[in-house]
Amino acid sequence: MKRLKTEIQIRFDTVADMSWHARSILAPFRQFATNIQILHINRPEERVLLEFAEESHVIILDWNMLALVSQGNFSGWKKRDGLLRFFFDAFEKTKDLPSYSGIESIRVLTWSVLSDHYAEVSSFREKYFSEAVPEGDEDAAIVVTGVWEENCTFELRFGPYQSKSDPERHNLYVFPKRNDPFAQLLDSLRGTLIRAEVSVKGESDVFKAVVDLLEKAETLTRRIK
Amino acid sequence: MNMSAILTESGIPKEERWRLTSYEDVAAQDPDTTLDENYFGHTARPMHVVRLMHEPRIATFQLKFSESTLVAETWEEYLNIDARVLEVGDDWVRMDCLLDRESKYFEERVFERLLVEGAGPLHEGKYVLIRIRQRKGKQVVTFHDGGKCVRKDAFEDYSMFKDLLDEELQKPL
Repeated sequence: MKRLKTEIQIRFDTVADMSWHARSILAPFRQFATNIQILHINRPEERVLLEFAEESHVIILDWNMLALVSQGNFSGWKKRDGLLRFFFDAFEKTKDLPSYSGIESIRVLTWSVLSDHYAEVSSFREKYFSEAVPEGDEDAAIVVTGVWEENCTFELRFGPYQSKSDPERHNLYVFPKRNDPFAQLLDSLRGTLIRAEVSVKGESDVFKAVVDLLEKAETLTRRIK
Repeated sequence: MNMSAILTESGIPKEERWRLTSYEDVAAQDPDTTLDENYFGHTARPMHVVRLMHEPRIATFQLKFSESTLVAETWEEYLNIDARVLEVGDDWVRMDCLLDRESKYFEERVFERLLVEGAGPLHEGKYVLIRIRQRKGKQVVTFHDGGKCVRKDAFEDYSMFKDLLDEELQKPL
């Protein structure tokens, strides 16, 4: 199983004056980042992106979301002071804003490939589809949605990985370096692409909620055999 | 494209600093310059020809790598430790390290001063962020100025001593 991308989103009620605060919230972590990007400057929807190349992730803050998007292998997230330290510190600073009014939801999304597992559409159809499913184009996927527990929902999508279209379709490139080893990996992979999404409504301990959702996403992903 | 690579100033007297300049740069400064006159008789392609010029100002390197040549190291474990300097010695620094933020568990650790100086000028009370990244066979520990990113509340929490403020104890014997 190869992890291609991970997204953690903390969605909060819109902070209308975020453009006044976003840069100062992320400023303490600028010394560790390899790049900073600011979009829609001085507009209410201003978005700040901090790129951490060594950790292969980007932290994004705008007026209704704090997100972390990671490319490739994702590890070291189980400790409070580990990989996600700056992400949670940024959230603590966001919570301190007078105009912050609470979390709407927390969402975790993961994209993984199970290598050499029904890589062809025909073999995938044969394994998972009944005869009632009409023959269609060259793509195929299954979507399973459900409720994990109270306030917690999930969606699992899986289908043959298409190296030509899936990297664009799923925005798998976090860093636009088309010639690096990750791009070569995306070109050469064969197997089943599994996208797991788990979300929970309003939580008090955000760290525990994120770790729990990441574990649930892993559990879902491993269900595909 | 500016291809110049400029030599650093260390150890070289100011008047003897040199700059490596591409033909394009020279031609831009002196339109009459031609390859045959100035480049040792070579008629190489302009982009590959360099010459040394006197350059009295402070020099820096200008090199542009293509993105594909830069391979970021990947790590498996990450740890960020908040710390505060307790004592600074000649070649060592003693720090109070917050090893577990939830239980507020501290340990005193001594580090080589040279390493900790990466966090800037050292003095008692200075906050330092220690970053540890590791993977199989390799561990990297870096020290950073923690003035803006260390959570100071844990270091300044004196609630465990509140019982000592008992009025009885405050009274003179």
